[in-house]
Amino acid sequence: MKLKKGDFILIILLITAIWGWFVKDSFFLDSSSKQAVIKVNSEVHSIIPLENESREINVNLGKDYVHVKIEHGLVWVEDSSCPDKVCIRTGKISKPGQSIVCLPNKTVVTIEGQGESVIDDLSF
Amino acid sequence: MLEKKVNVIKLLCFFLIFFSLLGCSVLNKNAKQTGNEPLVETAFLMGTIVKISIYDHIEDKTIFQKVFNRIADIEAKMTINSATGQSEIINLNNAAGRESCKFSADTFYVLEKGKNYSELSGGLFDITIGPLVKLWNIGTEAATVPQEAEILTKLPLVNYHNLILDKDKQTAKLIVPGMIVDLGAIAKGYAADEAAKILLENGIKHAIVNLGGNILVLNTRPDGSAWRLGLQDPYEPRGDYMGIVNLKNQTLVSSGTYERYLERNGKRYHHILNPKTGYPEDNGLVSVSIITTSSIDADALSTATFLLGLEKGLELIEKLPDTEAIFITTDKKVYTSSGVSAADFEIKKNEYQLQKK
Repeated sequence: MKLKKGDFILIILLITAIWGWFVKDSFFLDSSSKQAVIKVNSEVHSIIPLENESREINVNLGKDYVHVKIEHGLVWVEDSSCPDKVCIRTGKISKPGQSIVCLPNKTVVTIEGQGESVIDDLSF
Repeated sequence: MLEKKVNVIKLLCFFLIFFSLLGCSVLNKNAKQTGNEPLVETAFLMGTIVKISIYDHIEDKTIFQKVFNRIADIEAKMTINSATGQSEIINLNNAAGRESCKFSADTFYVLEKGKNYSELSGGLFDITIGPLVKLWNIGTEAATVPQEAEILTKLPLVNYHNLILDKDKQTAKLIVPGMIVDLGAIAKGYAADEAAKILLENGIKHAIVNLGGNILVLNTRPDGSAWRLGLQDPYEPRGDYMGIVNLKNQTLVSSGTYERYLERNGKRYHHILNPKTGYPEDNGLVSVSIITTSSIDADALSTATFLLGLEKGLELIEKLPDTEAIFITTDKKVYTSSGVSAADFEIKKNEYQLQKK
Protein backbone atom coordinates (compact mmCIF):
# COMPACT_ATOMS: atom_id res chain seq x y z
CA MET A 1 0.00 0.00 0.00
CA LYS A 2 1.11 3.52 -0.67
CA LEU A 3 -0.09 6.56 1.16
CA LYS A 4 -0.44 9.85 -0.60
CA LYS A 5 0.96 13.09 0.73
CA GLY A 6 -2.54 14.15 1.78
CA ASP A 7 -2.97 11.01 3.89
CA PHE A 8 0.24 11.72 5.79
CA ILE A 9 -0.82 15.28 6.49
CA LEU A 10 -4.16 14.03 7.70
CA ILE A 11 -2.55 11.46 10.00
CA ILE A 12 -0.02 13.94 11.41
CA LEU A 13 -2.75 16.49 12.02
CA LEU A 14 -4.80 13.85 13.77
CA ILE A 15 -1.88 12.73 15.96
CA THR A 16 -1.02 16.33 16.85
CA ALA A 17 -4.62 17.07 17.71
CA ILE A 18 -4.95 14.02 19.94
CA TRP A 19 -1.54 14.61 21.56
CA GLY A 20 -2.51 18.21 22.16
CA TRP A 21 -5.70 17.10 23.87
CA PHE A 22 -3.77 15.07 26.41
CA VAL A 23 -0.99 17.51 27.17
CA LYS A 24 -3.07 20.68 27.25
CA ASP A 25 -3.64 20.28 31.00
CA SER A 26 0.05 20.39 31.79
CA PHE A 27 0.42 23.56 29.73
CA PHE A 28 -2.44 25.27 31.49
CA LEU A 29 -1.12 24.18 34.89
CA ASP A 30 1.69 26.69 34.52
CA SER A 31 1.84 29.95 36.50
CA SER A 32 -1.35 30.94 34.74
CA SER A 33 -3.20 28.21 36.63
CA LYS A 34 -3.28 30.25 39.84
CA GLN A 35 -6.79 31.14 40.87
CA ALA A 36 -8.51 32.85 43.75
CA VAL A 37 -11.29 30.80 45.30
CA ILE A 38 -13.80 32.67 47.41
CA LYS A 39 -15.85 30.56 49.80
CA VAL A 40 -18.71 31.76 51.94
CA ASN A 41 -19.82 29.49 54.78
CA SER A 42 -17.77 26.65 53.21
CA GLU A 43 -19.61 26.94 49.85
CA VAL A 44 -17.77 28.14 46.74
CA HIS A 45 -18.90 31.68 45.91
CA SER A 46 -16.58 32.35 42.97
CA ILE A 47 -13.37 31.18 41.27
CA ILE A 48 -11.28 33.80 39.50
CA PRO A 49 -8.10 33.06 37.49
CA LEU A 50 -5.34 35.44 38.58
CA GLU A 51 -3.44 35.86 35.30
CA ASN A 52 -4.13 39.22 33.68
CA GLU A 53 -7.23 39.60 35.74
CA SER A 54 -8.30 42.89 37.24
CA ARG A 55 -11.53 42.49 39.06
CA GLU A 56 -13.57 43.52 42.03
CA ILE A 57 -15.82 40.98 43.61
CA ASN A 58 -18.41 42.14 46.06
CA VAL A 59 -19.49 39.29 48.28
CA ASN A 60 -22.99 40.28 49.32
CA LEU A 61 -24.26 38.84 52.59
CA GLY A 62 -27.48 40.71 53.21
CA LYS A 63 -26.45 43.70 55.29
CA ASP A 64 -22.87 42.43 55.48
CA TYR A 65 -20.30 42.41 52.69
CA VAL A 66 -16.70 41.55 51.79
CA HIS A 67 -15.16 43.53 48.96
CA VAL A 68 -12.34 41.53 47.28
CA LYS A 69 -9.97 43.09 44.73
CA ILE A 70 -7.72 41.29 42.25
CA GLU A 71 -4.98 43.10 40.33
CA HIS A 72 -1.65 42.01 38.78
CA GLY A 73 -1.82 38.59 40.43
CA LEU A 74 -2.45 40.09 43.87
CA VAL A 75 -5.58 39.49 45.90
CA TRP A 76 -6.75 41.51 48.87
CA VAL A 77 -9.83 42.52 50.83
CA GLU A 78 -10.46 46.20 50.10
CA ASP A 79 -13.36 46.59 52.50
CA SER A 80 -15.49 44.48 54.79
CA SER A 81 -18.41 45.02 57.13
CA CYS A 82 -16.75 42.89 59.85
CA PRO A 83 -15.94 44.48 63.21
CA ASP A 84 -12.34 43.23 63.55
CA LYS A 85 -11.00 44.03 60.01
CA VAL A 86 -8.50 41.16 60.30
CA CYS A 87 -9.19 40.35 56.65
CA ILE A 88 -8.20 43.85 55.50
CA ARG A 89 -5.09 43.87 57.69
CA THR A 90 -3.97 40.53 56.23
CA GLY A 91 -2.88 42.54 53.19
CA LYS A 92 -2.17 41.24 49.69
CA ILE A 93 -1.71 37.58 48.93
CA SER A 94 -0.35 36.02 45.73
CA LYS A 95 1.12 32.58 46.45
CA PRO A 96 -0.70 29.24 46.28
CA GLY A 97 -1.77 28.14 49.75
CA GLN A 98 -2.10 31.66 51.14
CA SER A 99 -5.49 32.76 52.31
CA ILE A 100 -7.44 35.63 53.76
CA VAL A 101 -10.04 34.79 56.38
CA CYS A 102 -12.96 36.93 57.49
CA LEU A 103 -14.37 34.95 60.42
CA PRO A 104 -17.31 37.25 61.22
CA ASN A 105 -18.50 37.06 57.60
CA LYS A 106 -17.55 33.37 57.26
CA THR A 107 -15.66 34.25 54.10
CA VAL A 108 -12.36 32.69 53.03
CA VAL A 109 -10.28 33.68 50.00
CA THR A 110 -7.64 31.10 49.08
CA ILE A 111 -5.12 31.07 46.25
CA GLU A 112 -4.98 27.69 44.56
CA GLY A 113 -2.43 26.47 42.08
CA GLN A 114 0.73 24.46 41.74
CA GLY A 115 3.19 24.30 44.60
CA GLU A 116 0.71 24.13 47.44
CA SER A 117 0.96 20.41 48.10
CA VAL A 118 4.26 20.42 50.04
CA ILE A 119 2.40 20.49 53.34
CA ASP A 120 -0.69 18.59 54.44
CA ASP A 121 -2.09 21.41 56.58
CA LEU A 122 -1.12 24.55 58.46
CA SER A 123 -0.72 25.35 62.17
CA PHE A 124 -1.32 28.98 63.09
CA MET B 1 -7.71 3.01 -5.01
CA LEU B 2 -10.33 1.37 -2.87
CA GLU B 3 -7.64 -0.78 -1.18
CA LYS B 4 -5.70 2.36 -0.30
CA LYS B 5 -8.68 3.97 1.33
CA VAL B 6 -9.29 0.87 3.40
CA ASN B 7 -5.63 0.97 4.51
CA VAL B 8 -5.89 4.59 5.55
CA ILE B 9 -9.01 3.80 7.55
CA LYS B 10 -7.19 0.87 9.19
CA LEU B 11 -4.33 3.14 10.10
CA LEU B 12 -6.71 5.72 11.56
CA CYS B 13 -8.46 3.03 13.55
CA PHE B 14 -5.07 1.88 14.88
CA PHE B 15 -4.25 5.40 16.04
CA LEU B 16 -7.67 5.87 17.57
CA ILE B 17 -7.35 2.64 19.56
CA PHE B 18 -3.77 3.49 20.54
CA PHE B 19 -4.73 6.88 21.86
CA SER B 20 -7.87 5.75 23.58
CA LEU B 21 -5.72 3.21 25.47
CA LEU B 22 -3.31 6.02 26.32
CA GLY B 23 -6.31 8.00 27.43
CA CYS B 24 -7.36 5.20 29.73
CA SER B 25 -3.98 5.09 31.39
CA VAL B 26 -4.02 8.86 31.84
CA LEU B 27 -7.47 8.69 33.39
CA ASN B 28 -6.42 5.84 35.66
CA LYS B 29 -3.50 7.88 36.89
CA ASN B 30 -5.83 10.74 37.70
CA ALA B 31 -8.14 8.39 39.56
CA LYS B 32 -5.22 7.16 41.67
CA GLN B 33 -4.20 10.72 42.49
CA THR B 34 -7.65 11.62 43.68
CA GLY B 35 -7.47 8.48 45.83
CA ASN B 36 -4.64 10.15 47.76
CA GLU B 37 -6.50 13.41 48.03
CA PRO B 38 -8.49 13.78 51.25
CA LEU B 39 -12.18 14.37 51.60
CA VAL B 40 -12.37 17.78 53.24
CA GLU B 41 -15.24 19.55 54.93
CA THR B 42 -15.21 22.81 56.87
CA ALA B 43 -17.57 24.50 59.29
CA PHE B 44 -17.55 27.71 61.31
CA LEU B 45 -17.64 26.71 64.97
CA MET B 46 -16.16 27.93 68.26
CA GLY B 47 -15.48 31.29 66.64
CA THR B 48 -13.13 29.79 64.09
CA ILE B 49 -12.86 27.52 61.04
CA VAL B 50 -12.99 23.81 61.69
CA LYS B 51 -11.54 21.71 58.88
CA ILE B 52 -11.66 17.91 58.84
CA SER B 53 -9.58 16.10 56.20
CA ILE B 54 -10.14 12.35 55.87
CA TYR B 55 -7.63 10.38 53.79
CA ASP B 56 -9.33 6.97 54.10
CA HIS B 57 -11.81 5.76 51.56
CA ILE B 58 -15.22 6.29 53.12
CA GLU B 59 -18.74 5.63 51.90
CA ASP B 60 -20.62 7.35 54.67
CA LYS B 61 -19.99 11.08 54.65
CA THR B 62 -22.27 11.72 57.63
CA ILE B 63 -19.11 11.27 59.73
CA PHE B 64 -18.30 14.93 59.05
CA GLN B 65 -21.64 16.05 60.44
CA LYS B 66 -21.18 13.82 63.50
CA VAL B 67 -17.88 15.57 64.24
CA PHE B 68 -19.30 19.06 63.64
CA ASN B 69 -22.32 18.30 65.84
CA ARG B 70 -20.05 17.20 68.67
CA ILE B 71 -17.96 20.37 68.41
CA ALA B 72 -21.13 22.51 68.29
CA ASP B 73 -22.29 20.70 71.44
CA ILE B 74 -19.00 21.51 73.22
CA GLU B 75 -19.26 25.14 72.08
CA ALA B 76 -22.83 25.42 73.37
CA LYS B 77 -21.73 24.18 76.81
CA MET B 78 -18.54 26.22 77.18
CA THR B 79 -18.94 29.51 75.32
CA ILE B 80 -19.10 32.87 77.06
CA ASN B 81 -20.38 34.61 73.90
CA SER B 82 -23.63 32.76 73.32
CA ALA B 83 -26.37 34.43 71.26
CA THR B 84 -28.92 32.89 73.60
CA GLY B 85 -27.03 34.11 76.68
CA GLN B 86 -26.99 30.53 77.92
CA SER B 87 -24.20 28.01 78.48
CA GLU B 88 -22.89 26.05 81.43
CA ILE B 89 -20.00 28.49 81.77
CA ILE B 90 -22.24 31.57 81.44
CA ASN B 91 -24.42 30.14 84.21
CA LEU B 92 -21.34 29.61 86.40
CA ASN B 93 -20.22 33.20 85.77
CA ASN B 94 -23.69 34.60 86.46
CA ALA B 95 -23.76 32.72 89.77
CA ALA B 96 -20.34 34.09 90.85
CA GLY B 97 -20.29 34.96 94.55
CA ARG B 98 -23.67 33.29 95.06
CA GLU B 99 -23.95 29.57 94.40
CA SER B 100 -22.32 26.52 92.91
CA CYS B 101 -23.41 25.03 89.58
CA LYS B 102 -23.67 21.48 88.32
CA PHE B 103 -21.75 20.53 85.17
CA SER B 104 -21.78 17.99 82.39
CA ALA B 105 -18.81 15.61 82.37
CA ASP B 106 -17.37 17.53 79.37
CA THR B 107 -17.33 20.92 80.98
CA PHE B 108 -16.19 19.69 84.37
CA TYR B 109 -13.23 17.91 82.77
CA VAL B 110 -12.18 21.06 80.92
CA LEU B 111 -12.58 23.19 84.07
CA GLU B 112 -10.44 20.71 86.00
CA LYS B 113 -7.74 20.69 83.30
CA GLY B 114 -7.88 24.47 83.16
CA LYS B 115 -7.35 24.76 86.89
CA ASN B 116 -4.48 22.24 86.76
CA TYR B 117 -2.69 24.30 84.14
CA SER B 118 -3.36 27.48 86.10
CA GLU B 119 -1.52 25.83 89.03
CA LEU B 120 1.24 24.39 86.83
CA SER B 121 2.04 27.83 85.38
CA GLY B 122 1.93 29.57 88.75
CA GLY B 123 -1.15 31.49 87.69
CA LEU B 124 0.27 32.92 84.46
CA PHE B 125 -2.26 30.82 82.63
CA ASP B 126 -5.48 31.49 84.52
CA ILE B 127 -8.90 30.30 83.41
CA THR B 128 -10.53 33.05 85.49
CA ILE B 129 -9.01 35.63 83.08
CA GLY B 130 -12.55 36.50 81.87
CA PRO B 131 -12.90 39.98 83.47
CA LEU B 132 -9.75 41.16 81.63
CA VAL B 133 -10.76 39.50 78.34
CA LYS B 134 -14.13 41.24 78.53
CA LEU B 135 -12.43 44.56 79.30
CA TRP B 136 -10.16 44.45 76.25
CA ASN B 137 -12.57 42.62 73.94
CA ILE B 138 -9.78 41.99 71.44
CA GLY B 139 -11.13 40.34 68.29
CA THR B 140 -14.58 41.84 68.70
CA GLU B 141 -16.34 45.00 67.63
CA ALA B 142 -15.94 46.46 71.12
CA ALA B 143 -12.14 46.05 71.19
CA THR B 144 -10.54 48.87 73.11
CA VAL B 145 -7.48 49.82 75.16
CA PRO B 146 -8.89 50.13 78.69
CA GLN B 147 -7.99 52.81 81.20
CA GLU B 148 -5.33 51.75 83.68
CA ALA B 149 -7.80 52.29 86.54
CA GLU B 150 -10.27 49.88 84.93
CA ILE B 151 -7.56 47.24 84.63
CA LEU B 152 -6.61 47.67 88.28
CA THR B 153 -10.21 47.11 89.42
CA LYS B 154 -10.41 43.86 87.41
CA LEU B 155 -7.03 42.34 88.42
CA PRO B 156 -8.18 41.05 91.85
CA LEU B 157 -11.04 39.17 90.19
CA VAL B 158 -8.55 37.05 88.24
CA ASN B 159 -7.53 34.27 90.61
CA TYR B 160 -8.08 30.60 89.86
CA HIS B 161 -7.81 29.78 93.60
CA ASN B 162 -11.29 31.26 93.91
CA LEU B 163 -12.71 28.73 91.50
CA ILE B 164 -13.77 25.83 93.71
CA LEU B 165 -14.30 22.45 92.06
CA ASP B 166 -16.08 19.52 93.64
CA LYS B 167 -15.23 16.40 91.69
CA ASP B 168 -17.67 14.07 93.51
CA LYS B 169 -20.64 16.34 92.92
CA GLN B 170 -19.36 17.63 89.54
CA THR B 171 -20.03 21.15 90.70
CA ALA B 172 -18.06 24.39 90.60
CA LYS B 173 -18.34 27.76 92.26
CA LEU B 174 -16.75 31.16 91.78
CA ILE B 175 -16.26 32.69 95.22
CA VAL B 176 -16.05 36.40 94.34
CA PRO B 177 -18.87 38.29 92.56
CA GLY B 178 -17.74 39.55 89.15
CA MET B 179 -15.39 36.63 88.49
CA ILE B 180 -15.56 35.19 84.96
CA VAL B 181 -14.24 31.84 83.76
CA ASP B 182 -13.06 31.90 80.12
CA LEU B 183 -12.18 28.54 78.56
CA GLY B 184 -11.04 30.19 75.32
CA ALA B 185 -7.44 29.02 75.76
CA ILE B 186 -8.32 25.38 76.29
CA ALA B 187 -11.77 24.44 74.92
CA LYS B 188 -10.64 24.21 71.27
CA GLY B 189 -7.98 21.70 72.28
CA TYR B 190 -10.62 19.59 73.99
CA ALA B 191 -12.87 19.83 70.92
CA ALA B 192 -10.02 18.62 68.70
CA ASP B 193 -9.44 15.62 70.99
CA GLU B 194 -13.17 14.78 70.91
CA ALA B 195 -13.26 15.16 67.11
CA ALA B 196 -10.38 12.70 66.84
CA LYS B 197 -12.18 10.28 69.17
CA ILE B 198 -15.26 10.27 66.93
CA LEU B 199 -13.16 9.75 63.79
CA LEU B 200 -11.37 6.77 65.40
CA GLU B 201 -14.65 5.26 66.67
CA ASN B 202 -15.93 5.38 63.11
CA GLY B 203 -12.98 3.47 61.72
CA ILE B 204 -11.03 6.43 60.33
CA LYS B 205 -7.29 5.78 60.40
CA HIS B 206 -5.77 8.67 58.48
CA ALA B 207 -7.09 12.16 59.04
CA ILE B 208 -6.24 15.71 60.08
CA VAL B 209 -8.35 17.79 62.45
CA ASN B 210 -7.68 21.52 62.07
CA LEU B 211 -9.53 23.58 64.65
CA GLY B 212 -8.66 27.17 63.86
CA GLY B 213 -4.98 26.35 63.44
CA ASN B 214 -4.85 23.77 66.23
CA ILE B 215 -3.74 20.62 64.42
CA LEU B 216 -4.33 17.04 65.47
CA VAL B 217 -3.28 14.19 63.16
CA LEU B 218 -4.52 10.59 63.26
CA ASN B 219 -1.69 8.11 62.76
CA THR B 220 0.41 8.75 59.65
CA ARG B 221 -0.20 9.63 56.05
CA PRO B 222 -1.82 6.69 54.21
CA ASP B 223 1.64 5.67 52.90
CA GLY B 224 3.01 5.40 56.44
CA SER B 225 5.14 8.55 56.32
CA ALA B 226 4.79 11.41 58.82
CA TRP B 227 2.29 14.19 58.20
CA ARG B 228 3.90 17.46 57.16
CA LEU B 229 2.45 20.53 58.85
CA GLY B 230 3.38 24.05 57.89
CA LEU B 231 4.14 26.37 60.80
CA GLN B 232 2.72 29.83 60.10
CA ASP B 233 5.24 32.63 59.50
CA PRO B 234 4.14 35.16 62.17
CA TYR B 235 4.98 38.08 59.88
CA GLU B 236 3.26 36.92 56.67
CA PRO B 237 -0.32 36.32 55.57
CA ARG B 238 -2.05 33.11 56.57
CA GLY B 239 -0.69 30.16 54.61
CA ASP B 240 2.89 31.40 54.41
CA TYR B 241 4.89 29.00 56.59
CA MET B 242 8.37 29.44 58.06
CA GLY B 243 9.00 25.75 58.66
CA ILE B 244 7.58 22.25 58.49
CA VAL B 245 6.80 20.06 61.49
CA ASN B 246 6.54 16.30 60.97
CA LEU B 247 3.89 14.61 63.08
CA LYS B 248 2.70 11.07 63.72
CA ASN B 249 -0.38 10.62 65.89
CA GLN B 250 0.34 13.96 67.58
CA THR B 251 -1.05 17.42 67.97
CA LEU B 252 0.51 20.80 67.16
CA VAL B 253 -0.94 23.94 68.71
CA SER B 254 0.46 27.46 68.39
CA SER B 255 -0.18 30.63 70.39
CA GLY B 256 1.03 33.87 68.95
CA THR B 257 0.71 37.62 68.93
CA TYR B 258 -0.14 37.69 65.22
CA GLU B 259 -3.54 36.02 65.18
CA ARG B 260 -5.83 38.39 67.02
CA TYR B 261 -4.83 41.90 67.94
CA LEU B 262 -5.97 45.48 68.15
CA GLU B 263 -4.09 48.48 66.76
CA ARG B 264 -4.39 51.85 68.48
CA ASN B 265 -2.16 54.89 67.96
CA GLY B 266 0.43 52.84 66.10
CA LYS B 267 0.74 50.29 68.90
CA ARG B 268 -0.30 46.69 68.56
CA TYR B 269 -2.16 44.97 71.40
CA HIS B 270 -2.44 41.19 70.96
CA HIS B 271 -4.89 38.86 72.69
CA ILE B 272 -2.61 36.93 75.08
CA LEU B 273 -3.18 38.83 78.30
CA ASN B 274 -0.94 38.52 81.34
CA PRO B 275 -3.25 37.96 84.34
CA LYS B 276 -0.74 39.61 86.69
CA THR B 277 -0.43 42.90 84.77
CA GLY B 278 -3.70 42.98 82.85
CA TYR B 279 -1.86 43.86 79.63
CA PRO B 280 -0.87 41.82 76.55
CA GLU B 281 2.36 39.96 77.36
CA ASP B 282 5.40 41.65 75.87
CA ASN B 283 8.36 39.35 76.48
CA GLY B 284 10.05 39.17 73.09
CA LEU B 285 8.16 36.09 71.96
CA VAL B 286 5.99 36.16 68.85
CA SER B 287 4.76 32.56 69.06
CA VAL B 288 5.05 29.25 70.88
CA SER B 289 4.05 25.93 69.32
CA ILE B 290 3.52 22.80 71.38
CA ILE B 291 3.88 19.25 70.06
CA THR B 292 2.33 16.53 72.21
CA THR B 293 -0.29 13.78 72.18
CA SER B 294 -3.41 15.45 73.57
CA SER B 295 -4.71 18.67 72.11
CA ILE B 296 -6.23 20.01 75.33
CA ASP B 297 -2.76 19.88 76.91
CA ALA B 298 -1.16 21.46 73.84
CA ASP B 299 -3.74 24.25 73.79
CA ALA B 300 -3.29 25.16 77.47
CA LEU B 301 0.51 24.76 77.32
CA SER B 302 0.91 27.00 74.27
CA THR B 303 -0.68 29.90 76.17
CA ALA B 304 1.01 29.00 79.48
CA THR B 305 4.52 28.75 77.98
CA PHE B 306 3.99 31.92 75.97
CA LEU B 307 3.23 33.78 79.19
CA LEU B 308 6.08 32.09 81.08
CA GLY B 309 8.50 33.34 78.43
CA LEU B 310 11.37 31.59 76.69
CA GLU B 311 13.45 30.48 79.65
CA LYS B 312 10.79 29.38 82.12
CA GLY B 313 8.58 28.09 79.31
CA LEU B 314 11.35 25.78 78.06
CA GLU B 315 12.04 24.68 81.62
CA LEU B 316 8.41 23.62 82.05
CA ILE B 317 8.31 21.78 78.70
CA GLU B 318 11.47 19.80 79.54
CA LYS B 319 9.77 18.49 82.70
CA LEU B 320 6.71 17.15 80.87
CA PRO B 321 6.69 13.71 79.18
CA ASP B 322 6.13 13.47 75.38
CA THR B 323 5.92 17.23 75.14
CA GLU B 324 8.03 19.45 72.91
CA ALA B 325 7.95 23.13 71.98
CA ILE B 326 9.11 25.58 69.33
CA PHE B 327 9.59 29.21 70.42
CA ILE B 328 9.91 32.07 67.92
CA THR B 329 11.12 35.49 69.10
CA THR B 330 10.28 38.88 67.62
CA ASP B 331 13.77 39.00 66.05
CA LYS B 332 13.09 35.68 64.27
CA LYS B 333 15.26 33.49 66.44
CA VAL B 334 13.94 29.96 66.89
CA TYR B 335 14.42 27.87 70.04
CA THR B 336 13.30 24.26 70.39
CA SER B 337 13.03 21.89 73.34
CA SER B 338 15.55 19.02 73.56
CA GLY B 339 13.33 16.42 71.89
CA VAL B 340 12.84 18.31 68.62
CA SER B 341 15.27 16.83 66.07
CA ALA B 342 16.21 18.20 62.66
CA ALA B 343 14.01 15.46 61.19
CA ASP B 344 10.98 16.63 63.19
CA PHE B 345 11.24 20.29 62.31
CA GLU B 346 12.75 21.87 59.19
CA ILE B 347 13.06 25.63 58.92
CA LYS B 348 12.20 26.75 55.40
CA LYS B 349 13.10 30.43 55.55
CA ASN B 350 16.66 31.72 55.92
CA GLU B 351 15.74 34.71 58.03
CA TYR B 352 14.65 32.34 60.81
CA GLN B 353 17.71 31.21 62.76
CA LEU B 354 17.63 28.05 64.83
CA GLN B 355 19.53 28.73 68.06
CA LYS B 356 21.89 26.13 69.48
CA LYS B 357 20.69 24.41 72.62
